[in-house]
Amino acid sequence: MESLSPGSGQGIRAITSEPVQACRRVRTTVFSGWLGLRGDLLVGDFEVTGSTGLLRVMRLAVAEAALLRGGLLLHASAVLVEGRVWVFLGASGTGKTTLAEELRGAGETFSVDCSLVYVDKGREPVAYPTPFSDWNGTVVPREEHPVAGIVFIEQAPEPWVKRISTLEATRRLMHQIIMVPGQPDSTARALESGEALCGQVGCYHMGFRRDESFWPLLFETAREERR
Amino acid sequence: MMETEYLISEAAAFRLVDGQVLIVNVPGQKLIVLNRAASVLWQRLDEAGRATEAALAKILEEECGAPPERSRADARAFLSEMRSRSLFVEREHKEA
Repeated sequence: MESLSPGSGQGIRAITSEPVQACRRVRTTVFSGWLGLRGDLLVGDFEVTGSTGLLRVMRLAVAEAALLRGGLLLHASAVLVEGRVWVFLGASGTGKTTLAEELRGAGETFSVDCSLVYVDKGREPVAYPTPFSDWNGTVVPREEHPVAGIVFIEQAPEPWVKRISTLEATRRLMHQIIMVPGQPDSTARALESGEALCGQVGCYHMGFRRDESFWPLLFETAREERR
Repeated sequence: MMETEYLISEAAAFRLVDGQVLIVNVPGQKLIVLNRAASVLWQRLDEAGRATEAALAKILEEECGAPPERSRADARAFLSEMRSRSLFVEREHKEA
């Protein structure tokens, strides 16, 4: 098996060499999504028009393929700020989508609902938008970007941010990793990559109010930590 | 004389993070975080492949400095907790 990270130039071949069982009929669609992400082909007309069921199959296919190679498909929105990606995770309804769509100049929407993060030894974790569909059914052809931080959000009347330990972050992250349930090998890989990710980037717990007031607080917390 | 040995279930995926063991009981999709003493026991059991209650109590005595009676009680409680969560399997072993 070739080693893989999506940005290494090996991604397409490695993924196609190992079709996910029971997903053969959607392979082309999944791989087209990857091609778009890598920027190798023009994918402006790429659209997912399948049913919700198809999207679920694709999601699990990509999730399992990613887990085999140090990747994690996360139930997370992400925002690109100054070339780095902030990944936001939280239970449904906490505001992930709102946060990623209503940026008011704080950054660019990177992905909504699903984000793909790769953790390779010897290089900082990188993020990709959803590799098969964006929230409106179109793949956004973006290149990889390094992960700035992982932020677990909950709604709060006033914004607050606190740094959390690798253990706490890994525990929280495990609830947001998309994978086929009941698979010990996949779960073990998710734990390994999850710990590696949380150990390499800043991880935060944030009280989130649906406006932009949390951004300065988040940036300041991250800056203080780097000092 | 027969004694009971304990093994980590193949249904448990786990990882040592910051000195504590994080476990996923895969069939039940439950996430469990062990405290530091329990994490020591889990790691030693993982390294050895199997252990008896007496062996786990000895580990607590030697590595955590707990008195013998407390160690035995804690080892018993640990095993009971792990068994109730289907994270350990038992087998009978003939003592040499």
